[in-house]
Amino acid sequence: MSKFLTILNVFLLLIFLSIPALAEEIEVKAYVNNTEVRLGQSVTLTVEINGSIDVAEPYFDIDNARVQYYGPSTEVRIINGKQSKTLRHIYSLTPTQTGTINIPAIKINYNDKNYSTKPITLNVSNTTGSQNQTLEEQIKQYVFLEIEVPKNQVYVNEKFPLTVKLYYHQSVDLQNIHFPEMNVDSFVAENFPKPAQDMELRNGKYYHVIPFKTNVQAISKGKYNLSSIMVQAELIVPRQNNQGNSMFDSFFEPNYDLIPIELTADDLTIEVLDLPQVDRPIDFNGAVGNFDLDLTISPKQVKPGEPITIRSKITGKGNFNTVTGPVIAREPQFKYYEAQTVATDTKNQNQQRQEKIFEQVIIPLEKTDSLPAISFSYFNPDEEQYHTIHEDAIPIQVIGSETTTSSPVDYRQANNAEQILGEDILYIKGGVGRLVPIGQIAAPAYKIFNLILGGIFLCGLGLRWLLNRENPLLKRRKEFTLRTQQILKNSGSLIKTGENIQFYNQLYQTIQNYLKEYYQITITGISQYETEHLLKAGMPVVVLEKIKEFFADIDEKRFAGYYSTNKDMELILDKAREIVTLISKGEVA
Amino acid sequence: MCSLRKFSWYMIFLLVIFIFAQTPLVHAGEVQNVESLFYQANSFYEQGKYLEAVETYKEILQNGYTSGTVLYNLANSYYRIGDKGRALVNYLRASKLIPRDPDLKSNMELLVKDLQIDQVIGFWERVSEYLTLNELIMLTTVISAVVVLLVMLLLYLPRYSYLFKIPSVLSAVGLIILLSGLGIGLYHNYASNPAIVVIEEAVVRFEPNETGEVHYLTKLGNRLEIESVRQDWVAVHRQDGKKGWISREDIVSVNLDNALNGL
Repeated sequence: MSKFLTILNVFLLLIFLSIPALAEEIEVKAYVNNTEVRLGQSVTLTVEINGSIDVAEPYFDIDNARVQYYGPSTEVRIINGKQSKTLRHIYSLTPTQTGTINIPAIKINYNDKNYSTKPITLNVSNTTGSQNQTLEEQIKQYVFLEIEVPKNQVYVNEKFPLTVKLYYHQSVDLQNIHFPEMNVDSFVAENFPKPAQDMELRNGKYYHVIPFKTNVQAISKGKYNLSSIMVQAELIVPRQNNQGNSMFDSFFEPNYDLIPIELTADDLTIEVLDLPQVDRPIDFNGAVGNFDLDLTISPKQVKPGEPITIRSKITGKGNFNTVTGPVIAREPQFKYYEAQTVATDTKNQNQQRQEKIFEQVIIPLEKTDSLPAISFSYFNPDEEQYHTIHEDAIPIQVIGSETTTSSPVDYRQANNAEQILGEDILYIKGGVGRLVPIGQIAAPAYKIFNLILGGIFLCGLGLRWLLNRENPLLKRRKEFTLRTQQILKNSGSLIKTGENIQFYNQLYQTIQNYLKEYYQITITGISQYETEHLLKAGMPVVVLEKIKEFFADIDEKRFAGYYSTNKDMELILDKAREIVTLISKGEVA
Repeated sequence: MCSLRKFSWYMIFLLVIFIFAQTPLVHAGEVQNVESLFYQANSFYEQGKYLEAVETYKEILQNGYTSGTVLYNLANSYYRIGDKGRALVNYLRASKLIPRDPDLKSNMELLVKDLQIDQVIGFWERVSEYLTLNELIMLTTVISAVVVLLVMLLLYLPRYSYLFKIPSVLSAVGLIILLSGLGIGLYHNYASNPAIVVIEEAVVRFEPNETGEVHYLTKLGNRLEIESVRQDWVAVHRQDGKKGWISREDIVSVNLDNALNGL
């Protein structure tokens, strides 16, 4: 029965709580801070909802103006037990043309009911003389983009440098500058490194320049317009100074607007040509650039069935993404493994001199005196022709069952490369140096020392604890310090009740007792005798000065207690607290 | 009370004495023997008898002692007889004891260039390019002593605590950094077991026998990490994590303890 009653009560409570929600009605209105605005400046549009703070921001478009949503602001008030809720969605409007701008009725749906605001009209004037210029045209005078490429005709897979230069006039400021977006079909770009900012003089004006540099390659033939490369940023525009705003408005609201801009460059067409079919070598695998090939064979003397590594280092400038290992002619007396890329050096990317190293293992299955022919073909876009590097019949020695791979090699005999003059190891040292037993990382003295150090630390802590525990004076001082602090806390209630005389008397008595207990001296003020006594007891001069000041103040207040304000009493209470804290922390003897 | 204070000052005095105390590292008789071997080896080197020099320097190690200079001279001797792999191993061992030695750095650079290798020096070796583990331990000990001293002063002289608060915090932060560095250093010293390939080209196989399929080839001077040993074969992995088995004769451990045990 009792369970049924509990469920019933909960049900009724839920119904009761839901009644106000069901009955909730809202009021919606919109307003701007200024209806007269100059081109390039912005106004603040506020959509205010009274009665609820749970309404999503409305979306709307305004012809000839940019709309930027700043965020919501909520306000909940309770007056005489009645609650009122207000939600404000704040927007920034930036006109893009002169003339009249109509802010339409903004619609809001709440609890399946539609609400709308009244339309607002803005007058946009232009006092700078450029009546017919749009905002984009005005911005372009100050912020613009340029694209630089070394030539307008390239080949498929040819790597070439591309620079996107962002210019902005020294009088304007940008923030949140994004890296360029390559919205060009069939072009692949490397990541843009962090650019270095510079200044440049153009048409008699100084501009900040941010050059975004990268290397790009086209992957299919055709004509492409690079003007679709885009850079996004935010232009910082000072806000129109509104009359009548209080100092707090400027404190809480930024005095500028951020206009998001998307910059593109002027038309720049680049033609991508297919690689020529004429004279294309059979072993050409798509390498485009200018390359050299360096081969290393190791070991040169093997038994049948033992592996030989062919290390191919391709250096040069060009598109290394399409560079594959050299082609080794297939012969039946060899077993072939796939070539593997073992290193790619991109450190010299700016100089465009890079290298890529491949290793390929082949195994002679029978006796032979040379490796198969090795070749590497590439297309040089500057010369517009194909080249092939041939390495024919590199001599090797495939011998019987004797093995040579495990013995140390005399470098000077094995390596026929010419030694560079002036390079050799430095001479041996004469003194034996600091001898240590093998395996010993640190001298044993450190272990002993650290053990003793730990012992000292623990002993010190233990002693301190013992000293504190056994000293009855310190214990007693701690107790009456706590007691005094409690009395001072309680004195605060006398301020609230307006018992001024009682408050000052209690405060005076408390501090006097505290000093008496602490220093065994009765203090009614600070005379020569008391000063000497307290200094002798180890009290710092700073604290002594504070005590003098306290007694002087409290004497005065006690006589004129009725005329004291709550603030006066709080101040003197703070002084008393400070004295107790300073003395208790100071641990004077 | 007074006697307790005296005791505290006595402890501080002991602390200072221990900071500057030096414990002899080796016995005098052994030093004499090791030094005479060292000068004998140097003499062989000067006469161009590099093989004899190598054997004599190795005798010092077999006696259970080492020094940065002994290892450096041994590496030079190996270099002269053309065994660049073992030369590199001994330069790396020397760099743990005399990391700031300019001659050692110069010779190592030349050798690494000759061998056309990179990444010979591991991460910890790069971090500890300026301090040996012994120096790091010494520094940590000194800072620990300072921290203990300051804590004691804070406890016993609270009236002057304002003087010691900032130095205490700074030295405690320094101690935490040094202890972290020391922890990383010790971990790398004990957990890492690098070895260097000492033949022109070594074969790493899938199985620890001669008939095992070739996994990959590794050349003179390349660094491998030893995982375990099985008779004449050593399980290793290279920097990209590829594991395999290599003949025990083809590599030499950079860790001197392992080398003396035949690795």
